[in-house]
Amino acid sequence: MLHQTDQALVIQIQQGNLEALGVLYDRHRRLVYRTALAITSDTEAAADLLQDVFLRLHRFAHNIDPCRPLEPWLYRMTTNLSYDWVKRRKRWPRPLEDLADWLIGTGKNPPYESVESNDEWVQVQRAVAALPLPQRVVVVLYYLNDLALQEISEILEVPIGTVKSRLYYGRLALKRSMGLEQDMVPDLNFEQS
Amino acid sequence: MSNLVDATIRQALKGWVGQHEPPATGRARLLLLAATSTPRVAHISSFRRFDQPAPSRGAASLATSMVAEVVQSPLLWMFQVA
Repeated sequence: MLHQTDQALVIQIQQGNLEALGVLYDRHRRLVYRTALAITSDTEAAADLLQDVFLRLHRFAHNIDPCRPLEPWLYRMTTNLSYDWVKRRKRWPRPLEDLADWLIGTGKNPPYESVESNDEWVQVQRAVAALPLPQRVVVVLYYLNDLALQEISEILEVPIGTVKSRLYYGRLALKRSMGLEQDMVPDLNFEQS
Repeated sequence: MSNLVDATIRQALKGWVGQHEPPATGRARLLLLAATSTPRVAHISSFRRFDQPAPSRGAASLATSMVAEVVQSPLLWMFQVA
C-alpha cells in the first residue's frame, strides 16, 4: 500500500479502508502541518488543523475526484481551516485556561516561543504573522511550498492578478520587517513573471 | 527569477517551520477518530485534549462538550416550538 498513488489511496478510503488514510497521513502530514504552522504561528493549532484536514479527507472522500491530484485539495483545506482559525482567534480572546497555563509557565506555545534559536527564523516568524491574512497565505504557499502563481491562484480560487498583488505587497512588508531593504539587487516584478 | 531577498525569505521560512515536526501520536489519534467518527466532525477544541497528559483536563473538556450537547438539543427544540 505504501507504493500506491494518492489517487489509488483515495479510492480505497472511499471504500472504507482506514489504513489508506494512515498512509496518506504519513505521506502528507509535514506538508499540512508546516503550512498550517506558518499561517497560524501556533504549534498546537497546527496539530489540531492537521487532524481536522485528514478527518475531513476521510469524511468527504466521496466528494474528492480520484482522477485529480490530491495535494491541491490538501492545500485548499489547510489554508481554509487555518484562515478560519486565525479569524476566530482574532475575534475571541484567548481561553482563560490557556492564559493560566501560559502565566504559570506550563504554556505549550506562548507567542513567538523562545525555542526559536535562529534570529532570522524569529524575524521571519514575526514578519509573516504581522502580514494581513490574504497576503500571509500567498506568501506561505509561494515561499514555503514553492508553488507557482498559477497553482496558488487555482488553490485559493482567486485571479492570478490578485495572487501577484498579494505576493508583491507581502514581499515588500517582509523585506522591510526583516531588514532586507539594503539589498543590492533590483525588486522582483511579479507582473512580468 | 529568484533573487537575494526571495532566497533569504524562503530559507528563513523553511528553516523556522522545518524544525517543527507533527506530533508523533497524530496518526493513531486520527485513525481512532476516523474509526469512531460521528455524523459530524467534532469541534476542533475537543480534539486538543485527547492525548494531553493531564487526564482531568481532558475529562473536563469532554464533560463540557457532552453537557453542551445535552443542553443544546432541548433548547433548540424549544426555540423551534416557540
